[in-house]
Amino acid sequence: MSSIARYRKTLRRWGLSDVPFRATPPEDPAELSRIFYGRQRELDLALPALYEGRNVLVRGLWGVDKTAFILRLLHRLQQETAALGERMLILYVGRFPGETSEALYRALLLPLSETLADAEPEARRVYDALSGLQIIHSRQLQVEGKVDLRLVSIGGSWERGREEGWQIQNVYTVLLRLLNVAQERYGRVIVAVDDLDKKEPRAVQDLIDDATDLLRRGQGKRGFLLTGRFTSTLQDVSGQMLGLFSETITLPRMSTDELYHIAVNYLNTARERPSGEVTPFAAEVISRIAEYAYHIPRQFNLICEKVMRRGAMRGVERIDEQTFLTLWRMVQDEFALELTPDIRRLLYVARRSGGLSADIDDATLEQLGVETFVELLPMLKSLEGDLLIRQEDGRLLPSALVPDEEERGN
Amino acid sequence: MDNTFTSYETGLSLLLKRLGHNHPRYTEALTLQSRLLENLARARLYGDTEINRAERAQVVDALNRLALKALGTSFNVLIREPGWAALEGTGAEVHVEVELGAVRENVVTVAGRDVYESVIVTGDGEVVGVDHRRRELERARSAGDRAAEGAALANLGSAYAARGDFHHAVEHYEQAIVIARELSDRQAKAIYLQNLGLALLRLADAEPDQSETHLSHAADALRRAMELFDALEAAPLLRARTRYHLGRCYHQLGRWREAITLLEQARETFSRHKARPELAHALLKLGQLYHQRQDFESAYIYLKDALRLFRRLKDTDGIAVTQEALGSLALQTARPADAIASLQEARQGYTTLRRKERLRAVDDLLRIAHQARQPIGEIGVTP
Repeated sequence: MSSIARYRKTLRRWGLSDVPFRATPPEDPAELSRIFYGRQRELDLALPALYEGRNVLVRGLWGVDKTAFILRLLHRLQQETAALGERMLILYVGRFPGETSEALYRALLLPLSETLADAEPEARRVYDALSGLQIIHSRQLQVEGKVDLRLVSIGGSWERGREEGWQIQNVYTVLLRLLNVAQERYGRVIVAVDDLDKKEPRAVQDLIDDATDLLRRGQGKRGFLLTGRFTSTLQDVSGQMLGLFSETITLPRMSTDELYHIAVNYLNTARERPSGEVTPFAAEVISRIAEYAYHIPRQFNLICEKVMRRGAMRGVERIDEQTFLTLWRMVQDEFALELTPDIRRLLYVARRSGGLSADIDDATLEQLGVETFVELLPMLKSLEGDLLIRQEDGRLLPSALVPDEEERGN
Repeated sequence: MDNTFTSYETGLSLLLKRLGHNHPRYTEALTLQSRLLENLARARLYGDTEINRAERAQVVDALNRLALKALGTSFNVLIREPGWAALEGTGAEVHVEVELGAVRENVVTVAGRDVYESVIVTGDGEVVGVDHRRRELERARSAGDRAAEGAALANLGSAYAARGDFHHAVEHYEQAIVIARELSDRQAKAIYLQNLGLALLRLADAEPDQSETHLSHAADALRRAMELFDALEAAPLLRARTRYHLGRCYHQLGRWREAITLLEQARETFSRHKARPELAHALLKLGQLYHQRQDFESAYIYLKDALRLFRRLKDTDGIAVTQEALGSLALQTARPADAIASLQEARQGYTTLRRKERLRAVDDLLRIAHQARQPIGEIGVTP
């Protein structure tokens, strides 16, 4: 039997069409609602603030599923506002190129001008001028023509636009004018920007400083939802100091129970008949994966996906604790093969020293061959996420996917 | 503290006066004025808090940017720091040798001031008196050797600078620059321009009334020196040092983003060349800048690195200044216990160095930190 045939046969035996886990959640709000679980308290805090056109900051550790939360929030806002018979325009900007306030304004202009293009000549001109952009993802959802939810992600670079002549002069003024037009038409405009936590924190600081005027203006009629990487005490205070947000929503890590429900939801998307079970996983294995994932949904989904795929390839009946340990070792070994010696050394030192942070000692710096922690920042930044997991106290710990070589040696 | 508040108020009046009613940003300035005045009133009535200070820093930042764009000068320059005048005249000199690989340089610091603020690199290996340099100049003039005359003028300038007489230093550096230009000696011109920039920086500290003018001239001289060094592909450390000083200058002028760019460039070079004393000062300066910009996370990272290096260098002054900055950061980020630990070490260092003015500042911060640790009921906060 071929490998794929065996893989498919195992999945069928498990009652699944495919391996449903994904590290990043779907951007389609309807699809997302099938997977999303929990965060009720946070939704209850954010919904009324946004409904009233206030600014909201959503922050949390990398991988804690801020995007899923925001998309769910906006979808709920759209549905509940429409149910009240009120009008509202909701814009969501995922990725956008650049780290300046002008780049942000341009990114906002794209969905805004697209929405208004039919009725407003200036919006049409702006939209035409921006048509050279590389749009990664664009989607519009309308509820009875009253509440528009427009989602967009932009790739490429603004420099290309300069070469091709689709730059817009006085971007900020044009943006304010079109926002006013949108407000007149819809009553309230909600703008969500979901890319900020992935940009350089210092650049975001500058960007927020520059955009303070935009964020302050029109409160009550125009609400902004921004994402922040504000996780440590220091970042936390920095964000709050700006005094720009009516609500600051911190997304905590997820409990084992919440992750269990997410696993069930994912598995149900690939099942013919929904179930409340985590089959083929044993319940104890899900608890163990939650622990290995530091209770971070992205890591959890990633581990579930990798373990499940290897289990299906080997044709295992069930992923119980014993089987999991075998599969887990395979996953770790394959993961380690992708790492360069430099990265392996850094991760090894990070694990042995209990995590890397600004409070690092001289001996650890010496082991890493640098004099200052600042020198490590570019490398740490590139590894943060899948390989290094930031803790609430700022320490960066290696992902459980990275094997502990010393432990293996013993 | 009230004197500082008064200087803010004076600065605000000056800013509005210079802008004039018809300026397009006058309304924005008025809004910022009302926010700052409200903040000061709150601090006077109920005492200053970390939140209050942070908000004030934000308004002052906005005023700095507005003033820079509208008037070409920062708000910080418009206000008059009362402490500056009191510092004038404390001109006792301390000579410190800084070793950078094979290069030995004399660094002159003026006691009673922050070392990182007062570094003057004479560049000639030793600091000697004015009389000796004057005789050197006379000899060069009588020999008709213009290049030697230029060098002697620059050396005389450095001798005046070491003495704290920055006016004469500036005068002599300027004459040296004229000769270097006449001889098309770009290397010498770049060095004299850098020395001129440093003397003007010190002059700006010494004469708050003229600080804006001196800082602008210093920035101009250092920028020209940097461009020349870059064009000449001068030694990386020399270029990095010019960037460091220009960064300091921009910092004082409120041009924070440019300051950060230059200081980061300098830091990278110091780090690559293992120039530890200069790396430590660059990290400290960047930490202070990030703190002012309210990027507390970066501030903490840079200050901790600076502290580690100063400890390795056994630099008491550097440790004290960095611990003071870390203490202030901890206070602003609501970590009074950390603030107390840092400030106590800063206090110890300043006591050893007999830096009375810094001791007073640290004691003020310590008092606030101890208050912040007490339960609210015991502080007697006015509702």
